Amino acid sequence: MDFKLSPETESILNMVSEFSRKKIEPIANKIDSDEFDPKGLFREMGSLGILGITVPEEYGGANLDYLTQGLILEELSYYSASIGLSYGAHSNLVMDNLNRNGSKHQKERYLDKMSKGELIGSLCLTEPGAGSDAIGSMKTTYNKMEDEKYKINGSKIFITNAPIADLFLTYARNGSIYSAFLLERADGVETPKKLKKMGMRGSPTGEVVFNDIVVGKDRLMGNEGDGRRIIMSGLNSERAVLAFGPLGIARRALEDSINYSTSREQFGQKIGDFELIQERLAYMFTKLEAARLLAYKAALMTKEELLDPSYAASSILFASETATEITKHAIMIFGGYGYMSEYPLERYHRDALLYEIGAGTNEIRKIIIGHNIQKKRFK
Amino acid sequence: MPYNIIVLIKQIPDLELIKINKDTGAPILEGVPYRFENLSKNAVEAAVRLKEKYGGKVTAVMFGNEKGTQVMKEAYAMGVDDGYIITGYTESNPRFTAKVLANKIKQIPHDIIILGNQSADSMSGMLASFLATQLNYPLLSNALKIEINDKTAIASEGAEKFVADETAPLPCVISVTQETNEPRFPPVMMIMKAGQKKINIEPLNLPVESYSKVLSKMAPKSERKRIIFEDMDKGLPEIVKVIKEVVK
Repeated sequence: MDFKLSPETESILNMVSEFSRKKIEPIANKIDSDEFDPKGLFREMGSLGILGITVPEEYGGANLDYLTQGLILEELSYYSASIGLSYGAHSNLVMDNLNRNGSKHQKERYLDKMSKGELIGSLCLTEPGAGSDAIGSMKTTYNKMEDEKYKINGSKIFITNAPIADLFLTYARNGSIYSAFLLERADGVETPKKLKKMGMRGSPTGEVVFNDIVVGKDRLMGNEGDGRRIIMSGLNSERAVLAFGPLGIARRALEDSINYSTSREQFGQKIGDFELIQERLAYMFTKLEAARLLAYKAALMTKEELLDPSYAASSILFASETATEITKHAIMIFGGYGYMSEYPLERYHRDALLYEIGAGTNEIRKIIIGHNIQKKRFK
Repeated sequence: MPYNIIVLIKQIPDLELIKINKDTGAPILEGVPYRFENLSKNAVEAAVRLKEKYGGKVTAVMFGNEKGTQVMKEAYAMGVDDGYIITGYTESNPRFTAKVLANKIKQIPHDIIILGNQSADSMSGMLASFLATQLNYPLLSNALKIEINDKTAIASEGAEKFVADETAPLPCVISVTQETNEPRFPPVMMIMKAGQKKINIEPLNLPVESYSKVLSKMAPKSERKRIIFEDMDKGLPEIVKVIKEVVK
């Protein structure tokens, strides 16, 4: 086994890296401090063909795998974790999900425009009273009306991309039956509040309100009652791909730390010559490489026929904890400078923490892993 | 009217990753990955834009080695139709490189030859004129804008504050600068298609001739005196004195 990527994947990553260096890096601080609206960047990412990376060519995609999608997310996150997160929500949580579960009509209606960045997607699961218990405590409801139409009521919270989204992939229940709907802003979906956050400030997060939204059968994704399966399989691929976000943040924090350690001098020598700094660097490198191996494996294991949720869950569990630790070490290596907002280190740390919470908290991930590895072994 | 365009490209070591040997001042090239030379990208962009505007075909030619296939694929992804790598490149020797490239160019139908006005590694800036001489074609250098009118190329050349329009009958050689255009980022589908395309690799079939010799390429030495004046009042006149001495 070697860990060589195909020359095409290398070229795609080179392209994403060069694009990010030219278009994202110069404004990375501003993206955070000014809560920058990434809509324009979506158009640019659309013209590069990276938004529809996992969907078929007929919908403007490239039909590539989750590993490639994850690696793109890592590269974007290296420059701006916010842009990486918004990319992941649009490209994986909505587009990939819609491609796997939507009808031909739905794919034709949305996917091509989403590949181009003309429509922005947002996935609506979490509610004010339904976080980790997203399914059991869900209060967003739908009712089937006489003329085969559906009426949806309720609200969602902490929804990535909601303030800028055009399409809302929404889960709702009718008693114990869960279903997925594709709702458009024009249907009357409201996003009253953009939320203030600790980090990921350039990735707009908001509240979404459904007030008697009436849509036809053509907006039901899959069949009635498919909601639970769509949520669970969606979360699995989401975890496998989003695990690359913290990898990108951590890789950046490590590289910045190495550069600083080899240039900053104290007591008449480079601080990298001190073994206490080397200890931190060695630990950061080792954890990052371990997280990378697990993320690669989980991404390759995330296929319908190999579906084992313990890999994706452990991948993002480990990657997110690793990024939190590595970004903290980076702050310590930079000392006072690390704590200053003028330097990006504190931003890396604020951004990294999101991944311990978003896409199911680390507690939920541990429950998934604990449950599944026993089931597999003792079945 | 469609044109046959040849673009000359080059791979160079990633300049950002080159470290300098502290003792000798020599660049450390071992393990440094190669990438698409910057101005070659401007040249490809210019060539592909001409193809998009007038129709025709773009063929890329590189004098390099087998490692150049990745760069050639990136050129394909930007819109180049066909590519030749002539292997056997060893060191910067612009006059010989021009001879090798001219030899190959003569075998390919062409109306316009585009290249960067220099390359980011050796920066000799001599290749365009050597090549035009070898082929006995006119050279439009440092073109900021290129247009073709039937059998004539029109280039707007930047010279300090002025822009001059110059014309040359086809076939001709045109060199571009980094201000000429902003090279495109190749989209994913073009990258995927480029992966399937054939690259023609041919060994060098001319005896190596040395017209110039690189005597040394070392990082310039900058020895800082590291004089620190701790007392502001006494320090200022001292600094003025030092500056005056240097200016003398």
